[in-house]
Amino acid sequence: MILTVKDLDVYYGKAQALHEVNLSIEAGEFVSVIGPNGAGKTTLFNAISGFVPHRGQINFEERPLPRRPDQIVRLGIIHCPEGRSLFPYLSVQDNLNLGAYRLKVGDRQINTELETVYQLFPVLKGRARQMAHTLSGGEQQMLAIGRALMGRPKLLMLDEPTLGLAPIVRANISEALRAIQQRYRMTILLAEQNATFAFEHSQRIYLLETGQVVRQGTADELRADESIAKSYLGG
Amino acid sequence: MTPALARPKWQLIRYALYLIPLVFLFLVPQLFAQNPFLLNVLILANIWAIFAMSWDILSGYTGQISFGHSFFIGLGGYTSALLSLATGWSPWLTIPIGGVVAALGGLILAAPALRLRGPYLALITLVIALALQRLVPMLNLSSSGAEGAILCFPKCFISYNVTTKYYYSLILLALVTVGLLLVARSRLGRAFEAIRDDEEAAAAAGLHVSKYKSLAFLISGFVAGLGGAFLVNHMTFASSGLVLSLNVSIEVIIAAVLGGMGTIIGPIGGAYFMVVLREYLRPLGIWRFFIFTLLAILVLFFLPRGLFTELRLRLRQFWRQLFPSTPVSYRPLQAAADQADGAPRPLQSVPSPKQAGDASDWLLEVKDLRKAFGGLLAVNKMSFGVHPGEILGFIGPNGAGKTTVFNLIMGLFHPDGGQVRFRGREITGWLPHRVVGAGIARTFQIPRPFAHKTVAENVAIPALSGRHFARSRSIRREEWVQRCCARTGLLAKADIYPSELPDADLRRLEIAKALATDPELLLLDEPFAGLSLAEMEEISQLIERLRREGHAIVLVDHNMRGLMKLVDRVVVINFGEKLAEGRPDQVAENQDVQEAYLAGGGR
Amino acid sequence: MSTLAEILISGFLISSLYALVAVGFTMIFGVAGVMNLAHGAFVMVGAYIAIWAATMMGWNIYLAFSLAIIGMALFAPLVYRLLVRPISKRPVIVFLITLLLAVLLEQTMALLFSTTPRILPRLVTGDIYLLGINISYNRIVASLIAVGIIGLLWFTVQRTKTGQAILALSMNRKGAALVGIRAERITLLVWAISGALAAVAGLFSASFLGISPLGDRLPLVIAFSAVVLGGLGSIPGSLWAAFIIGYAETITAQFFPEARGLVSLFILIVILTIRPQGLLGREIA
Repeated sequence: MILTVKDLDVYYGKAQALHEVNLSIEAGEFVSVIGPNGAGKTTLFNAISGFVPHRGQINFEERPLPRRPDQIVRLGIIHCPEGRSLFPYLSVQDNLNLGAYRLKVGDRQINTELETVYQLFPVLKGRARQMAHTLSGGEQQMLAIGRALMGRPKLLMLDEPTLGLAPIVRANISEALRAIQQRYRMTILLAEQNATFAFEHSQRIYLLETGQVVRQGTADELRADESIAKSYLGG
Repeated sequence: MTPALARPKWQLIRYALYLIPLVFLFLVPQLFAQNPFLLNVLILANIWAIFAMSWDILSGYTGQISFGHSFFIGLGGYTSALLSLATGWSPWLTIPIGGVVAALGGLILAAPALRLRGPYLALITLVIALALQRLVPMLNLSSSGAEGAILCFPKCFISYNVTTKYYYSLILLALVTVGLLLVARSRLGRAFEAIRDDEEAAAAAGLHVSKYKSLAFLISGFVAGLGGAFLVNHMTFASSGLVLSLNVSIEVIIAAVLGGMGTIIGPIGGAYFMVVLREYLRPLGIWRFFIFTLLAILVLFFLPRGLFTELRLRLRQFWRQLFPSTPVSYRPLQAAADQADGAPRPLQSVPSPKQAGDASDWLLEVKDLRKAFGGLLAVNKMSFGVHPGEILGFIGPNGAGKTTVFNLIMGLFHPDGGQVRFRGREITGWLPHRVVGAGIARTFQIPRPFAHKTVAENVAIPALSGRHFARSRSIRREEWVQRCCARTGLLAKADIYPSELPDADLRRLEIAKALATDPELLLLDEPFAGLSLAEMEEISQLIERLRREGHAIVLVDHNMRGLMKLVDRVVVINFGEKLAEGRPDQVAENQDVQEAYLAGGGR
Repeated sequence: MSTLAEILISGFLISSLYALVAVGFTMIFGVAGVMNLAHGAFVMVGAYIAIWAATMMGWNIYLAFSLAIIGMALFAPLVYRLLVRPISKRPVIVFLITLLLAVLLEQTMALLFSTTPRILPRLVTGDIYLLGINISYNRIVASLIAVGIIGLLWFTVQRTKTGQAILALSMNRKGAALVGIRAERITLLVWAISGALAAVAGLFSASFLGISPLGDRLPLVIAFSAVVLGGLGSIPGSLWAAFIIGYAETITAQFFPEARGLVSLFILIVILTIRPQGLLGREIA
């Protein structure tokens, strides 16, 4: 197991946002957390990457996680958040370069990394000198994913990467995810409301409702479950 | 404390307690007759207390942080001095005129301040005060003295002895205190607090935010100007250092913060502490400013809530232990009982729900609405309508532009094109409070209660906006508040603070706040997000009941799950444009809708 | 002709010093979200450290200058750590305490050095006759150094990893954490840079304008004006603004000497009223 989350509780004031969430990912696995709006997916991600205080145990490569988000990032857990958190007044290229901030590598290695990202998202190469805030929503999402990839993640966490995107862009991102997974055997944790999208990519799936894991299993198992198919897959 | 839930007996006792120090202060000249220095210090303390309170009503109560109170003080002071010099009028005339001029100055300052928030607001107050300080010496007002000082004008308090001046200052202080307390406890004061806590939510509650902010500047300016004019008459001169310098503003803020912001009474204590310390440090000579500043930094650093707020909290605990408070009992209102039975509310003529599909009689009509942020079209060619008494589902994936449409209807954003009509009247681009006044209320996706107020006090804020008075003078506000609480099932929790409420009750509170403006149309922004199935069911029933009581409702959600039974019609949007419209079952079969919701990526 | 030359040249000198003050102020606001109202006092304290070393201890002037710059580069982060960070969640208190710190520093300098204005010895002596006016070498060196420092800063911010981290942190704190930037370390560094820049500005202005502890808070107002005019937190904006204000002041001083002190305030009021997001307006995040 590369990541294990055990009995995770998160409170916002007195309101409990997560109840005893348990979750684990094996190296090279693609796991999704699905569930409706407000179920706690983003909270779960923010807890793992250190942005919200929590109770319970989170281990990465069998060791407990450090406290601060930047320390967690330096271990190789890279979180591509909802809302993207780009640097709006830096160029696309500078945004990507900063993605490699955690690595102690020279310009040449960064440039190969850059080429990889540009290969996945050719649109970004054309806009390398443009400021991030001038990009369209879909391009910004690609940039956010690209920036995360620049840090050579051991675990990549993607929070709602298809949110509010046009079908064509979604297809683009879908394709890139598949490429990443196949080429680099990257471990990926995905949070999605769009269950169809999640089922398409994942090996295993956790269903989160009102802060609790209500179902978990392989994608095939859950797809066969009638109630889930009905509520989440529109079948 | 709201009148709706006032505990008059305790309130009276608390006010009576304030009298004790007042009586003591009245006796000071008798007790310390041999000590004119003390009296002089206390006169200054009284004046600074007036300054600090005037700051508190603006900055502590309304949240408009001013760093340039010397602007008001200087305007008041110089006006009084110049008038006296030019006309020889009595101080009793020039002091109030000074206050009025400073109040007008407050209105002038409010003009840029209304557009600014946070650090920008603090900056502009600071800068305008600095500008006045630089400007006055350049006007060559003075016949004598440097730095724009005006010395010894004919009519001031020169002929009065210290004791008389002391009494005058004390009376002025008492008047100002009572006046500001009345303001703070009135509708005005509650509107101020609501604006401080959450400006947007206050606007959604129907408060005319700009008007109330301007009033806060006006009141604060008037009081500070009065104090400044009194100070000048007391000192018998006006000078830059006395009333205009940045140090004056700093000292006023120190006094108010030391005493406790937003308490009105606290700053009096803060001012006394500060002035007495400052004046009794005089023997230290050139060291006194150093010591004083250092002490101020230390106190602020370690007690940022203020000396007297801390003291009050301790005292209140002690008081609670002595007299455990009895829980407030609510009169079981007939209205509340009625509502529990689901009977239609008596206040409003209930329009009969129209049949779906009848397009002739819209309550709300949105036509070709358009809004772009930067280059991004957030809403485009958006047209739909709401019939009286229907529940319309407004559906779209996250980021589709649903909340933006709400904000455009409510007047939070100005549309780039298109029209919004309500009951046949064009309301496009109206300010939020007018839209609320016309009869539309909204809830926020993430509940935004006023955190420092109880449930009932929260509901009382939108009840301030006046629409329900205009419609029915027959019902008292406290009764109205209780009724709104009862209709949403919150009556038993009326005295609880929002931080103690579970999620579902926060949604109810949002709805209760919206109901308190007496709307015909309710816009509910994702009332089900994050709720459990049981809670969703409860809120659904509540919404169903509200519809039976005659409200039209627009219900936003990101998908149709759980909405199918509740809604009469559905509008589906995506990428800021309308995708489909019709009965839920029709829409569910629509090809485009299926594409938007059910199609994954990768096709 | 000589009036024009006078305006061009002394406008440039004064503007480059303003730029030093403004950049330091805006960097702290950008990265830490704090309006450091003691920034103007930092300028003055820097000058007094050098005055103490050069005139009272008889140090070599270069050594004295270095001591002042290093001193402020250490003092400013200390202020952040001890005074500002613990109360950073209460913006009103931060505003007030940094303002009080400015007063305290003024009082301290008044106690240590008395209130009489002092002049710092020049870095270099001699004059040059240029375009019909006399300019001291000291002023020329000062503005060259100021421009050099700003250029160096510009290069650092644009081209180095740490500089990019500073920009990133000022644009999006969460994003910065997500790429592994240590916010605390960068913030301390920025306070140090800001302190050092303030000291340099103080050194040069004290060497040709003189300095007194209870000044009219001009540096602070300048910093404000430049920063608001340029857009809070925007480094290029503050540089532009510093030069606009510097020249506006020089021109006014030439024709209406009395109104000189009002220029920056006037610009500030107009900008805050008309375009609060500044020249190179970013959204107020």
